[in-house]
Amino acid sequence: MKPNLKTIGHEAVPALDRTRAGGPVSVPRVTDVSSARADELHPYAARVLADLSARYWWEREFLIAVEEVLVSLTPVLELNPVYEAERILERIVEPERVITFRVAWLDDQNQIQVNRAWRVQWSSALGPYKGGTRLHASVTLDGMKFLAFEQTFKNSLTGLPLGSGKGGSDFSPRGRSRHEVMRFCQAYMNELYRYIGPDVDVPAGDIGVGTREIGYLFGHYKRLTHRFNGVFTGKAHEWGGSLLRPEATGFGIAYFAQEMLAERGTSLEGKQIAVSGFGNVAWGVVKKVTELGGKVLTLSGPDGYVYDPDGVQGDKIDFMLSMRYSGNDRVQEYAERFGVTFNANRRPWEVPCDIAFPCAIQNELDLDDAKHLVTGGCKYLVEGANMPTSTDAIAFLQDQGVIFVPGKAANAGGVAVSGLEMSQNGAREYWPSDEVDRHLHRIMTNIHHNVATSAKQYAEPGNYLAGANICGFQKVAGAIIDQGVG
Amino acid sequence: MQPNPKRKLVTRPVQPVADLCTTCIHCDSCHLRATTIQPVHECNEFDDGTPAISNGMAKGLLHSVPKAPKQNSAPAREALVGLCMNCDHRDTCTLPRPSGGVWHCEEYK
Repeated sequence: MKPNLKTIGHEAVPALDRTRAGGPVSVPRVTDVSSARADELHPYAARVLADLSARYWWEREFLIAVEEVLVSLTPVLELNPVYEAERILERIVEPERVITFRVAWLDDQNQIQVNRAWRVQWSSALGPYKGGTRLHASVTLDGMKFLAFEQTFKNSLTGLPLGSGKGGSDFSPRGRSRHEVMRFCQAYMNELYRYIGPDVDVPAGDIGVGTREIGYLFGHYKRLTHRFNGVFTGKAHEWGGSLLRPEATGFGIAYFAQEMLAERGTSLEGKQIAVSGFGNVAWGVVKKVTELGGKVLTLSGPDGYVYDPDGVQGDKIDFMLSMRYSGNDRVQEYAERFGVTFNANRRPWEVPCDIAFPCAIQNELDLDDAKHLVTGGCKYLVEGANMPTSTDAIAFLQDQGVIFVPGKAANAGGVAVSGLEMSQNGAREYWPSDEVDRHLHRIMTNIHHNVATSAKQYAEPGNYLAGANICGFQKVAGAIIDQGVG
Repeated sequence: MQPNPKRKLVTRPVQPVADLCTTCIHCDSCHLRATTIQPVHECNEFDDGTPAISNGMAKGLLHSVPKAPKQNSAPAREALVGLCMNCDHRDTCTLPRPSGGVWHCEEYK
């Protein structure tokens, strides 16, 4: 019998089989994350990581994320003993505040449902806490901590006054009526409103939270506080949202790539590009990269990938959207429509290309894929999604001289435009899309410059992974020191 | 009532939902991810079957979102709102009738 893993507490989530071709997913228990890379860590960082691993041994993703950052910081810690004296690492690996609450609400049958919810307010060193709200059955405190920690460095890189955070609930909107979603959002806000505000904590959307849910959340916040302000980002444009937010992540990734190539005396013009995914991020990347002269050869979906030797351009880019909104989620439709090759059940990294943009899913590109890319002549890998490349694949690519750009730097355009939405709300203004685009372009140029400079200063030129971690860390650490102990 | 000492308390462990794929409609057939070992917490292609408009999709990009049906040129009387509701010309009038109703009309009678 296939297991039904969908029941948490009182709320039954419609069941899907979790078993895939590769067997059921299991999460290995990790007790000592740091052992594998202990020799790469500064002694201070090793000590902090060991303490953290002992305290939160079950939080695997969080510990791996911390380890990745700490390994990058080794040269910084050697050159700046003040960080150890100020115990910055101990302060940066713990959230400033975690709010845990239960959400009780009535479903359409007037039955009481209970969900658990969290808001992790990680760092307010650089600005109000800022991070998404996720509604999904997989949400746990551990997961929120991991995502909030990652958000700290991404938000720092934008150069905007943004702290970091993350929140959500194990409520799943799947199969719920509009009214049930609304009642849940209102019950959720009945507690959360005490802890958020435009100068305190500014949540945004995430998985399961789109414009509709932001509307319900904001509407109830407004009723409870009697204030209309920029407490949320991701709002509909008519009541405070920013233009260009949907395109921002993809456009920002393309701008970053443009800067990276310009520094090496080249451009996107004529470059052969492999893209995975066909959602918002992939769409934005394809649109902007094509505008800048690149030729996008591939798109991918859950069913496989398409190879278009003429490039995804013009009407084909618009077709990506209609494909998305058809609800079929099959890129095979693109192949059928435009008469190109569809490769079922395969990933696009086997296609020879100059630049790869993984824009789909976490852990989508492993060591074998990295080897395919190198064999195919790939010189650059720019992450569009969050953490799409496995650790061993990154190490291999860097070893082979492929320039690797982590998502926390390349896809920071999304949160940057959320920051611009906060600016517009604070100023009671709406900016036209070209003005938002100009700001986004400037922000991405600055991110590239700062990351590249940090890499040159502390690691080696072109090591964007180290540069992003170091640059993000130093801004937050500096602010923590400036603001004193407390 | 006294508890029966021979009866063991049976607790059924609650199985956590591991990651996004758990409720994604593509879970069984998805070939995007390279590994089945690591849980997925980030995915731009996640789809749990909820309508796209509530799933983080951009309003400005929703070319295919069905629009509200157009008003019939001769709406039923019960559908009329505003001045038209009891106007003498309501059955023959050819002036535009917005769905929100007509609230200023020089021809009202």
